[in-house]
Amino acid sequence: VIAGYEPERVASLAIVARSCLHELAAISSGDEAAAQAMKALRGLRSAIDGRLRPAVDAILELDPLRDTRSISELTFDLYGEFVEMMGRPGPPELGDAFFTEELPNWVARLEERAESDPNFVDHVIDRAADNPLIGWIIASGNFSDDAVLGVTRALMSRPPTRERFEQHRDKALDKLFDRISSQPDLALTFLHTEGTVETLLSLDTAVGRGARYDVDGASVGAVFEAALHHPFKEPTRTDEAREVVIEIVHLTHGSLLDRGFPPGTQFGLASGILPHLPSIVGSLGDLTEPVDFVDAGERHRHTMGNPAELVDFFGALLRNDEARVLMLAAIPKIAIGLDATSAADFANLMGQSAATEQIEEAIHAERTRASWRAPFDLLDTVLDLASPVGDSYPKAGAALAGGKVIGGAADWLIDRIEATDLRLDGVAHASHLMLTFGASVAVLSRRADDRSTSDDSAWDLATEIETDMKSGAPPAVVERKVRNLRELVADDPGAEEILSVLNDERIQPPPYDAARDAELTGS
Amino acid sequence: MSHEDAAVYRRRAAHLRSLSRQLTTTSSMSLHLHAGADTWYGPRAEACVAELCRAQHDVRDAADDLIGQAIRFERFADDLDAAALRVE
Repeated sequence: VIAGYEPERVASLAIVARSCLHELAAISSGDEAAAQAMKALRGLRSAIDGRLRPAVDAILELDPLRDTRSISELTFDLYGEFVEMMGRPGPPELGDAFFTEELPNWVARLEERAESDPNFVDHVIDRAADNPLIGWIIASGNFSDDAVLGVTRALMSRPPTRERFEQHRDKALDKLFDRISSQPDLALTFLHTEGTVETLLSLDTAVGRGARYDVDGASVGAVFEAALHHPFKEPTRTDEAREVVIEIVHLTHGSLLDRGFPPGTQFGLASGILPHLPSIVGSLGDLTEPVDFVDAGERHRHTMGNPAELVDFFGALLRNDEARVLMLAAIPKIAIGLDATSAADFANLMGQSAATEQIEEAIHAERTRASWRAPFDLLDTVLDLASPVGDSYPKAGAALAGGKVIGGAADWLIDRIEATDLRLDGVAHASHLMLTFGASVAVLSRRADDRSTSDDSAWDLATEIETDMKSGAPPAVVERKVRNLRELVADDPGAEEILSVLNDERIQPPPYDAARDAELTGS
Repeated sequence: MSHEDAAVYRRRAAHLRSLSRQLTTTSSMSLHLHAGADTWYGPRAEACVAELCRAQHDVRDAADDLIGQAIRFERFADDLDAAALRVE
């Protein structure tokens, strides 16, 4: 009589017992000196096959839920078929009909299995590192969050040793990252798990694993973007997002990200950090104290980082064209939506970050003599804003609007400015121009009520600048109009206070260049 | 008595040692760990496990005997080699 049992363990016992019998059947000896041993062996087989297995089978036979909860042979058959499939001369090519014809069937089978067998997800996660096609399937189907995160972590932490799997492992990870970023709450849970941020930001290196991943940086960046935007829909998770930010900032100060973020990730990271800027710009100051997250005037218990860490973090972002555009475009938005002083502080941070990166690159070039002739010239190229800002900027705008961070921020900035034509000298120049534009509009917004009734040439000019920027007018023209705009608003009430930030010594552009200015003005 | 006879005994000794190792390392020898009270309990379960443990014990004893027999064969082979050398 069996008084009680644990169904899952009994089912497992049945499988192990069968495996033992197969193993024992393979042992034999014809030596007469082994006769007693063979007799003992038969006794052991009898104990298992004649007593234990019948008792186990009887339990399983009577278990009313055996069909749904036992670890059946099917589980192992599925895996066996996977292995067999991967044992072909080569795994299916990425464009192979397998992915359109066979994969959906596998997805359906595993979905069904996961529905009926609570152990199945654990089993799949356990097997994921051995067969990255499981990652494809989990990413393509309707599986639980636990399955998605578990398989993703398995693929990230236990790279297969068989090289021909690696292409599929990396593509499976891309799909899983896309799946995760489509669900921002899940993305935040994912990133907030210890070690995940560091692993993600070092996938393109062999650090800690001895194996490099060739994943799509944009997919990784999208995970960060989704996760960092999520608290603006679910404010109770703000702390989690900030802790993720803090970890990223901390990592950029170390050697792991000495040369910037992994390729392709920067835009997602920059877009992700944008809605958080209003929480930190108020405590930037002169970058002499640690920078805290500040909510409605109350200093948050979280410190984003010390000044050196922030400089490294934003410097790492500024290395990338698209991320650089987002950061510079934030300056006038801060001036308009918050205050000009905060915008000036942020402009100062951008300038210091770019300068520091420039120095780091020079040091790196010096160390690696082979590249000393062509150091990464960040300051000279920083205003290469002719890159597809039109594609990226609306996304940033949406991010800001979605986060309800800066109400009424202008949607038009630096869309088509040719940096080289402007002859601005790096971030300091760009920051100052953007700050001038933002501060001038901030002054203008104070007389918005009079706009319809007065002959307001300043508003007309601001609108004209907007149009110029959207239509890709010559940068020199835009710059000149921005200067004129500043002059037109200079006598407004309160203008002196707002525009005084433009005289901040920290953010002054390089000295006056007579020849250049003469050419710009056509004189 | 010859070196060939000694070699036969050495081969048998090696086989017995290998067999002993096979018997003691099979997963059947740890099957009881899957069949404890956290899996099932009751008179029949206890009887099954008790018989399993007895059978495992017998296998271990037999495996030890195989090692003992192998040692005897190896010593006998040494003696045969020594005798053969004396004859030569």
